[in-house]
Amino acid sequence: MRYRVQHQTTYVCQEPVSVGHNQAWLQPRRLPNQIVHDFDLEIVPEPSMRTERDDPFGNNMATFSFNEGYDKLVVNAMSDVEVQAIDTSNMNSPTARQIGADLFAHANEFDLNALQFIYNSPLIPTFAEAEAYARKSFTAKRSVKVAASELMQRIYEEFTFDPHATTVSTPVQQVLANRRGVCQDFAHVMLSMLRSVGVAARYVSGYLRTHPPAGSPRLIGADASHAWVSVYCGSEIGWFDLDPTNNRHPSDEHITIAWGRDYSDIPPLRGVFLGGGSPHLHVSVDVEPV
Amino acid sequence: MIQSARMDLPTLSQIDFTTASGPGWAGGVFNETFETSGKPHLHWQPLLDELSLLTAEELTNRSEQAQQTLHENGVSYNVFAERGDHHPWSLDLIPLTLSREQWDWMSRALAQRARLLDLITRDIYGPQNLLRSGDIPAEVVFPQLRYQRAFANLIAPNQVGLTLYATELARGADGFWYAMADRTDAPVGLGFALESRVITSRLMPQIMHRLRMERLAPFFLRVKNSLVRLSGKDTPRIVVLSPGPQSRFYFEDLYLARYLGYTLVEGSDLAVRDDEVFLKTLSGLHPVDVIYSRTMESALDPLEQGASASTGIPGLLQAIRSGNVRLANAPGCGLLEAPVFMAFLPQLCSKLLHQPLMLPSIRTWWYGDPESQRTVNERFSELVIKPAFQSSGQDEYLVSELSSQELQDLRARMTKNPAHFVAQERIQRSAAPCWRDQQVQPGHIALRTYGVAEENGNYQIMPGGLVRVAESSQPMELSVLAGISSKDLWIPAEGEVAPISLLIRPDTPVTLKRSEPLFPSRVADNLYWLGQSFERACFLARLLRAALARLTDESDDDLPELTGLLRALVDQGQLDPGYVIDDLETKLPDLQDYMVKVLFDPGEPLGLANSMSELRRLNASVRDWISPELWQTSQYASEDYFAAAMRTDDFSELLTLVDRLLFDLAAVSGQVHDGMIRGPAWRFLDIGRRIERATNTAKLLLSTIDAGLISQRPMLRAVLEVLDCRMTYRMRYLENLQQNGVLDLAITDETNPHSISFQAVLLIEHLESLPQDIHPLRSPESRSLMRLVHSARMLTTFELEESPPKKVVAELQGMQKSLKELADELTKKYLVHSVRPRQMGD
Repeated sequence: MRYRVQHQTTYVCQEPVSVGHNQAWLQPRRLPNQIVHDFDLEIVPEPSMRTERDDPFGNNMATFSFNEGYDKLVVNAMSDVEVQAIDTSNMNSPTARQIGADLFAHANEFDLNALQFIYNSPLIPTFAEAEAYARKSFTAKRSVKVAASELMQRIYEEFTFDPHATTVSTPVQQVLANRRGVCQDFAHVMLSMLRSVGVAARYVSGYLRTHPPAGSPRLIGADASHAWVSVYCGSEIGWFDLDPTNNRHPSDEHITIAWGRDYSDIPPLRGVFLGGGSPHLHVSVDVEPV
Repeated sequence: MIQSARMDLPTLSQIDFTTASGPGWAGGVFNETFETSGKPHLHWQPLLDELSLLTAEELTNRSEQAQQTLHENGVSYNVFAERGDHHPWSLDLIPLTLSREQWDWMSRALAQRARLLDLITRDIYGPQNLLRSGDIPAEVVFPQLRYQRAFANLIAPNQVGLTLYATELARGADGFWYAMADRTDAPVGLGFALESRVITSRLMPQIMHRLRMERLAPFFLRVKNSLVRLSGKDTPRIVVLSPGPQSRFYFEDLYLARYLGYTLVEGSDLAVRDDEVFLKTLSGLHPVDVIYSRTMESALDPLEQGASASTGIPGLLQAIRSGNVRLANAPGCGLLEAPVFMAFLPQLCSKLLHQPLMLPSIRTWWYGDPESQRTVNERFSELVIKPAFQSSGQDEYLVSELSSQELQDLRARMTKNPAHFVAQERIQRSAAPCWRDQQVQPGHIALRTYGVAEENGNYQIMPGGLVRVAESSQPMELSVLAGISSKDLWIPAEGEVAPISLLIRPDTPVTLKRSEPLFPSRVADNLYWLGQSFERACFLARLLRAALARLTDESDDDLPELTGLLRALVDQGQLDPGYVIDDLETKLPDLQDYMVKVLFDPGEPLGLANSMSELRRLNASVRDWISPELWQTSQYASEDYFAAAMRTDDFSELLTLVDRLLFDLAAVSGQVHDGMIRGPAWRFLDIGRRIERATNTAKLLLSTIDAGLISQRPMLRAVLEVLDCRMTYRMRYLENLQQNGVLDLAITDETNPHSISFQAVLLIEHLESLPQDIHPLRSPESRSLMRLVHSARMLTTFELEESPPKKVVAELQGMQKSLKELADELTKKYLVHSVRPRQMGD
């Protein structure tokens, strides 16, 4: 499936911003089943300085700064990206325990790399309630794929999607206690559960193709950026994606931008600025199949 | 016991070291000074000989002098320490000494250790070969939150990461030294070590000289060279980055910056533009090449490290990555402070340096390793258990001292998360003689040493150190804050002692200057507010004094001016408006209680207590830019005030107290007037004062005019009192109090340092001396001040006599407005840089 994605972030400031430094994770990753045909990051006004590099997780990251003031900042990421469908039906994999043992022995590069996704990260603690929740799915003999898929389904069924229940800084404990939140919260809560039972799992940011209700036209700009999780299934199989918000195994309707330990490693846009009053933020995302 | 002919000298109460030579002294730990036979160790003999020339009285007197000097220099861990946690620095004049042979070995061992730690850091944040090979288990690195991904590949391959290194050492009962902890994240204590040396050698000059001990200055010269080398330039600009006056080690930041000759900056003084770091000064941006960072590496860059680094410099890490600025130490070095690494150093040393590790760490086992787990379980009751990834000494358990419940809890936590714990052997620290309560007493020793990177990955160790003393041999916190006192460490010199000093050679000619080229905008900002707070404190004190004098008046006279003064207090936001409405009499008893609150309530944003605490805070922040006398006088003024605030609740004492405060503040004013160079620092301080003074005078006059009291003689007398002009008035007009005479003195008289016009004329001069874009015409600020002066000059004597003085009211209101605009303009033009950066999404 080929998509044209437009992700536009607008900051309108009450007072001029005098200086600003920003980082953005907006360029989709190149993957075996994902080809980035074209990507353009348009920034208005033109930054005084702009560079690109790979972050420690191998994601593309843009850094830009402004020495001259601005009243309004527009960051427009345009991607032309193709995602090939993958077969997600094969649920055979080693158990969590087997994978864990290999991880700690880390005889190869894959295991060493995966090991950094097993520990607490800045936004994701592990705690007793998360472990208890996950234990029900992670029985001793189950393949990690089966166990994680069941966990995903339980979160999907027991948690309510509610954009008003949380903010970017709501702790995972609270999300678990209230069983409410948005995709980022569900991804975080699931990561906390997985890591609590010793499974290496990473946070994935990206986009999701949405289907308009039958008969209605597709609404432009009504989409949102999305987040899900990926579970390590050993060096033979590699990583396996799960989307707890939709109870699905991502295939060609999920577009991957970046991955990290949690949201704080790869926010779409972050920055520090001087001045600005209380700026107003507007984000619009449009995922158009072509 | 002391084998010295001088023993026979007929001094009265000679210092008796023999108590320190008995077997079992200080609980049978290693004795630094005496052998078990009771004879002094050879290297102590000369020092003991010299010390025994002093009498107990002399040593006690000199110790008191040391304490006094430390207090006067403001040496304490926290300049803002409120009552209770103020921790004065206490210095024991009897030094610790080591033999030359022992020191030579130790400095080689410490240099090896520094080199090893640098290599490990560069690997973990670089190619990670040691993780790949399993020499360092990934489980001791990845789970640490202080292992920050943002630090990956910040250090260029041929560059040193660890420039400054400190080691915590202890000597065990076996007589061997052990490293108790490594300090690599902005290590502290170097300034305290230097200050200890300066004071010790000042108070015992002959001893120091005769014994020919190693000096510290050459080491600091090496530090300077190392920082220059780091820049890759011949004459780099180097700054010392401090977390600011709130830091417990601010004194040390100041002290080191002064000693090394670098500008002391805080995060808000630096800015990143196009991936380069600049110092923000009144005359613009100046590039910075090297930052000697005294800030923890977790608080450097709010862009990449988030809100917890909000005092840092946005974009700093990217500037380092681009190679445009270097940090000492490079971010990332702090990781190795975690005690878990000590369990791996011997193997890592063989692997990386192909030599055995010379200086052993205190025996450490990582509980995440199955084999170590067995050993730990066998010896459990003799060990100390610590979190594997924390550098501080908190959360430390002496197993033998735990209750059975505590033991069970600890065991459970260790079983659940074995990788998060280390076990260490307990050490019984050695003892050395200390001077306490006028006699020689045992003190247990913790030693902190310092090293600096040289060329080719080598390190030089400072021949000296910071010795801390504890009363017991029990484990002590591995922080320079722990212990009851500190000592100097003396190392005998090899050959001649070279007279190296960091002071510039006396025959170096200077190019004449009239200014400080680098005057940070933040300092200008702080000085401006310091002047403002100072003037506000003076004005409020005089206003409160005038009101208090009348409230405590015992005569039955009617006091009409009291209403006017209370009205002025209400208009200043000091008093509840209820006090000036209706019947005053019935409220007077209440008012007395209220006055105590007005004087001391720190919660009142415009109140006296607040002005005084701002005075104290800002005084500390600009200490580097004002004279020591001015700093000290201001410090005394606020100390006196807060000491009084704590004990006074008696209304009758208030008047004395305010008198005392005014006296202290006058001393500060004297220091400003007499002791400050007429440069930008003085100008900004004075601008703050002048604007505040003019504003307060205008406000006071408007309050009394509005209360309808200005024409009354008692009110006029009170106004003169508050404006501090009674003498001048009496000299001119004797006791003939008239409205026009008072208003002239308060507004139009340009020879009276308390008149509004006087302030405005001075302010115009200040503004024209500040750096600004070259422009042939006057700036908007100057113009608005000139308008103000002009309107005052145009007032006629009729307008000053008029009752009510309508024209005067209109002019005063205009003046208030101009002053407000002036303050806003100045902030925008010169002080805007000091605004705190914010995070998107906050």
